[in-house]
Amino acid sequence: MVATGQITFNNLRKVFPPRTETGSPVEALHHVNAEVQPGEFIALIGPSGCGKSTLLRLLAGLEHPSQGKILVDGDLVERPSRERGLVFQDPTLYPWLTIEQNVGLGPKLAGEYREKRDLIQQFIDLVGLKGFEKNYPYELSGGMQQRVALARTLINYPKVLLFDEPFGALDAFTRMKMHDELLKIREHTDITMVMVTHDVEEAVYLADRVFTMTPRPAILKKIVDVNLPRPRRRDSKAFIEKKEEILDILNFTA
Amino acid sequence: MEKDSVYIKKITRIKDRQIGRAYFASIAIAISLIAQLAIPKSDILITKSLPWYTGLLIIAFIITAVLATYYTFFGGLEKFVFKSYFIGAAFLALGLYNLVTLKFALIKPIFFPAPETIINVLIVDAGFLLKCLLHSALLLAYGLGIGIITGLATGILIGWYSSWNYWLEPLVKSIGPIPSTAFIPIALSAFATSFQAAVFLIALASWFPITVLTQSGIVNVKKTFFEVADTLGATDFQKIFHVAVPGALPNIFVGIFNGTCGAFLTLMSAEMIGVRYGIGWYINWQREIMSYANVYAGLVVIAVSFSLMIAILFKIRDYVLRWQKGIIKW
Repeated sequence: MVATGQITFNNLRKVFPPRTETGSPVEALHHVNAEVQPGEFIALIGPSGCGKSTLLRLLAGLEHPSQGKILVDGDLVERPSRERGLVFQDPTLYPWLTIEQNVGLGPKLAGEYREKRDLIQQFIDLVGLKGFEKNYPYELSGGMQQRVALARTLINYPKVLLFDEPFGALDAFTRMKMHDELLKIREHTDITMVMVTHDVEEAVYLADRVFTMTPRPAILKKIVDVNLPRPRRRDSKAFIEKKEEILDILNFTA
Repeated sequence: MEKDSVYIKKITRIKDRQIGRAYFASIAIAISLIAQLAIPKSDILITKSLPWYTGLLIIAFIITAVLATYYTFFGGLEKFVFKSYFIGAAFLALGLYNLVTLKFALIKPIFFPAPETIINVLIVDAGFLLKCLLHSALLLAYGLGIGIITGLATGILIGWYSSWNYWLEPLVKSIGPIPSTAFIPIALSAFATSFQAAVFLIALASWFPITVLTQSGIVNVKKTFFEVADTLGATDFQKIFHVAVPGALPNIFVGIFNGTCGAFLTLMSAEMIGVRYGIGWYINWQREIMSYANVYAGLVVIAVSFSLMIAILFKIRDYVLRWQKGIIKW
């Protein structure tokens, strides 16, 4: 099987129109050029206003670039597609659907809900929610809801999985647990993953490469190879040094 | 795990049982019954005595006494015990009304008939009342059915498509607020039969609130719900029926509730003005021939059937919106 999920950002620029009549246009992304290899895990990190979420939304196809283009496996990204799954900070589960129905929504929209019943169960099991199939989202905790959101995306077998601060709303312990579960899921798939985060530790723990971004001008400042053996230890010297290196790039060290 | 399904069935312990409260209803009914049997009928009234009110009290007494006794020995029946005060008070109020009318004739008997006379109409005229009720129900079913369908369609169109919104919303906003009873003269001349006219008016009355609330419900669905649907491969049409409409359902039910109340109002008005047959027509006709007992009987039929309909509507809503548990409901 040919590895898929190769992403190219080609001279990408995004300008938002001014909010007020006298204001000037806001440049959310200033000429981004980068490549992501199939199966890679990329973290986009930077302070708020650095355009990392804009980059992710462009990649998802929810926004259109003002200039330049994004290619996934050579195809131009023009609109949202089930090939590029998206997980928000808010799990955004449909409250009127049960867990099973939420996970099965992609197949349902494609008209293959019945044929894929076993698959739906498989993905519910994968994220450790066996027994909650018939529950409604309000009955689940935040972490569990986020796992449902993950299963809902994974079931479409996307080439690329996009995360917009997926664990930002969870407490520290749940977040660390989710990190390990996400890495476990990665062992089963070779999906390219791109995660927006503001947590340096999260970025170093999960990513193969970290894209550091800065606001005004909103540029991709530097790409850091994490290059640490897995499983990574959060308290190892190399890990801490890597964190400091990234903080340094973002001008957050004294 | 997080699902606390441990449900301890609540069995009230014997010493905690509210025996007094449980028997309150039966005692109140007994008081009304004693008053009915002991106090003679007013001399002014020349109508013959009827057994119905006494019978009603006896049956109600037996039922409540049996329930209260069951509770005393076996517990359970929480709902009855909770409602006992209210049931008792209702029968006391009825007993008071009976004193004012039948026993002492303090208010004009022709306008305020005694309970037994009203019950008599309900029993003697039952067949005709039922016929009238069915006629009204048919009108309501057609009118409300059309109103709900057109209301949902209009609401979806103007809530989802900006071009439909541009052309239709001004129309909705200008026609909608006009009470549909104001259209009675036009409707009666525009339609071939008064039945059709009434269906039109009822549909119009329910159409507006359903349209407006469907639209506002759709507009207020979280934007990210649509974005997620996009990344799951939804088409525009799928987004309407898998995201917009289910997301708007809580509002749509408010609209249907308001629409139903508007439909009741219009139904009654239409029947009192032009439509032949129906429960509203019955009330108006009986008023004209000064038989107020029949008017009251008609009102009782309306109260029971309409509140039953609203209760059913609420049950449907509770089922459809069961995913909404924990969120404040109306």
